[in-house]
Amino acid sequence: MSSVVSLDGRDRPNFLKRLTANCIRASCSQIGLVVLVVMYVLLGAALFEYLESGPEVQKRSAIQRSREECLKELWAITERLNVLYERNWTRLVHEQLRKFESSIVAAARQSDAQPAELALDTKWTFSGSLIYCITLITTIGYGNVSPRTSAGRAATVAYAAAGVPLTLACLAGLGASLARLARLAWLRATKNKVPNTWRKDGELENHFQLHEQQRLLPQPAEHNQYTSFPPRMHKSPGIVKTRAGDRGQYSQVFEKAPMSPRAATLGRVKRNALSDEPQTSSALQTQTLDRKRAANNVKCLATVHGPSRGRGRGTIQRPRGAAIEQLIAEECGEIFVNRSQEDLDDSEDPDEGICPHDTPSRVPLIWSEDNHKMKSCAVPSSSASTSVQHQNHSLEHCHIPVGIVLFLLLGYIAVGAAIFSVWENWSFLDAAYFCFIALATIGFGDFVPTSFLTLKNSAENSKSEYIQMIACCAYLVFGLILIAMAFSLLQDEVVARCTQLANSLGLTRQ
Amino acid sequence: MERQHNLHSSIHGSFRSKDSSSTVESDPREKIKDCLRKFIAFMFTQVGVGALVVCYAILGAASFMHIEKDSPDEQLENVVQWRRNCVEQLWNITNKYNVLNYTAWMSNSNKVLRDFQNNVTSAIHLGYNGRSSEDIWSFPAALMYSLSVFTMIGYGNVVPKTVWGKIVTIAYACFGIPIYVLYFCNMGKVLAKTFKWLYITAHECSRREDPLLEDGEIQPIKKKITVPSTACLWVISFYILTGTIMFGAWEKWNYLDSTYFCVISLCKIGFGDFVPGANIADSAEGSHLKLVINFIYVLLGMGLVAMCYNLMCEDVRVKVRELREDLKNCLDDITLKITVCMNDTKYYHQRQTRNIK
Repeated sequence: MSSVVSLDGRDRPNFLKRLTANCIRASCSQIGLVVLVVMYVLLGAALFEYLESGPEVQKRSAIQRSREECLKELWAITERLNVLYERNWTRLVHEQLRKFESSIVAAARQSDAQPAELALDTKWTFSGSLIYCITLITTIGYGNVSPRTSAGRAATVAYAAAGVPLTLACLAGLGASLARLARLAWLRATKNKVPNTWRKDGELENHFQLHEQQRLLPQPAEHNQYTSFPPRMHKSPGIVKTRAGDRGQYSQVFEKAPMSPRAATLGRVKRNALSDEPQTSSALQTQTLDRKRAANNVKCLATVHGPSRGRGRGTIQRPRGAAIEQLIAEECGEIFVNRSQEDLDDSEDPDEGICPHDTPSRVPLIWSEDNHKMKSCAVPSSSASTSVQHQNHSLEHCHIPVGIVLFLLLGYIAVGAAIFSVWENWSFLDAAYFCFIALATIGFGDFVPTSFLTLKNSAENSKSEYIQMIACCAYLVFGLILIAMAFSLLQDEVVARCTQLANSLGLTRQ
Repeated sequence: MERQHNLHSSIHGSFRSKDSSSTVESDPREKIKDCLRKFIAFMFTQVGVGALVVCYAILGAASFMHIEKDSPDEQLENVVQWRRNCVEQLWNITNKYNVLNYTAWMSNSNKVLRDFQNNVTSAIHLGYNGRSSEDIWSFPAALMYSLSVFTMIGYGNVVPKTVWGKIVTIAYACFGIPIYVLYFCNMGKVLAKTFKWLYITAHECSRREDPLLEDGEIQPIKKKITVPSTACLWVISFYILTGTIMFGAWEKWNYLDSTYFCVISLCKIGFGDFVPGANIADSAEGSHLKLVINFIYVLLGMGLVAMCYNLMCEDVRVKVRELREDLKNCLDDITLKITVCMNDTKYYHQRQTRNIK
């Protein structure tokens, strides 16, 4: 009854199906957001084009006016000096010219005008205001184009106030989805190496001591043992429908698995430390563990066996005793708390839920979640806890090394720099500087792709200019998504290391 | 985080019922060590990060000033050259029309001036600023520049021209942005806790004034109170209003422009068309003070935005979760009903067929 059977073959199609289901579900909420943002941008572009088409002409005449003034002054000077001494005259003219120059500078900064006479058409074509809206809501904000009219400015204020959080949420969500895919790809890529390297993996040392015991456990081969004991239907605590063979087999709980009390307490304390909620230590009874929380159709698969493979906080030991109940309670509580603490996340997983069983020994406990929310354990990654393992892998704790992520970002910037230096005739350094400043959403505006400066009439814009403009926009937007992904990948790692550092420095007591 | 938590409780008065984690140590040395540890941890978390940010900005300002001060402004030389040319041409024109023919002189001079203007404008596009590098990169301006780099606002009215300036900007941003994000999160947490405490206290006070709420007993507030988003929005609006009045008065902008500037800065967009104290015409001393005030305003504003983000996240999350649960319950009920219905009909059909048999 406690034979360990390999899962791999039968499990893969299920896994794939589940994965695609996850992806689709996640992307639906994402796609909705993306569509919303796109519509918002288009709407804003139309609005700003309408608001700003007028007064460009007025600004240009400001320069013209100052030029005429200068001329009048020069004439007056020439008339006054009845005898033309060159030096005197030159000096006075110099002064006048300097004044004229500063007025040009002031006017040019205000209106960012090209040589005024050349810009026969207003800058605020539809594509111009589209670029403007994009740079506005991604908070890059070049500033080469900015609203002149009061109505335009008021509209900018309102538009930004609503658009910036929306875009940030959208970008963060997309980044998180991308991060999940990246982790998956990484796991696939390193799949064969996992059992060997897992033990040697130095990173595991950094994770929470709760993992130590896992390393001490006997490690049979590849797969992990999940047994599908009865999926618990919500609201019906008593009913247990066996679905034997859903995922396969039963395996034995390692009763004697070493669970050092230190690890348990440490784990518990850490979880305490990281949640702000008051601990419901009274929720020891697993029966009282929230049915509410085990939302719909939680397919409760437990992972509780020693030889789990999974990195990081995958499997949870289930030693018996009061400590376990507490652990369970806290795991549930913790996950609940975690979820309340994290950011508004992208994937709405209806299957998210935990329903622990308290079963007698020798019967495997079933824990799992189908879709493990990435971030639910990402925030207090130090809480090591509880995660319930996702299928075969603990996706959320698969660590893509920091170096690779940074290298990816650098590569992206380098590629962009190469492209821009060719298109815009900038030096490579300037192009790299431009890419970096734009992707960090700083956006000075000293270097702006010429396709963004829509001087000419839209009729005159050649196809290639449009393509360039769209390519630049796509590059920037995708770069921002990549950065969001990098953040989400590196976030827990950085937090873990910092906490570890703080611990080792004795700043936080355990 | 528990440490932080307890520090808050000790600092914000004990609004948490949890006891501080200083265990009962009768040994005074232990107490001292404990205090010291608390202090260091506190420095590293709240105050420390704020001080770190300010120090980093000052460091950046000093280095950028040093790097960019001597940057040769090619455009300046060009412009000077053009100016000289222009004057020469004007002189020639004036000489030519020895008998001063107004219209001819005017039209020719106009042409010359127009050329000059175009040249200057193109020079402006290549970065000419009307001032020499030394004037531009004063210390407050460099401070604002560093701030705009690591807060990712990026005004752009002052930009590095030298190669080293650009490289150092990139490196500075790479290190500064994480520091800033840390500051942002920390400040947000602290301010959020303070604000929540204030709100809860106000709530309790207002409740206590209504003694007949629960049969004459004052019920302790059991459920977790989340600060509503509107309160956060009020705080932000108030801050923007303050900025509007302040900048409107000092910079002589109209109120719309000041509001525009405040929102654009706080949203980290930073166009750079309005920057306080960055006008050429401003006197040196006045602009220094203004830049410093701007610096402080932006930093504080970021903290407030972080706080609102924190609080609103919670609120939104709670609401979304409630919504989700409601939806799920609804769906469950519906599916339950449907299955019951189907089972009934199936059972009914079975009965029928059995009866027939």
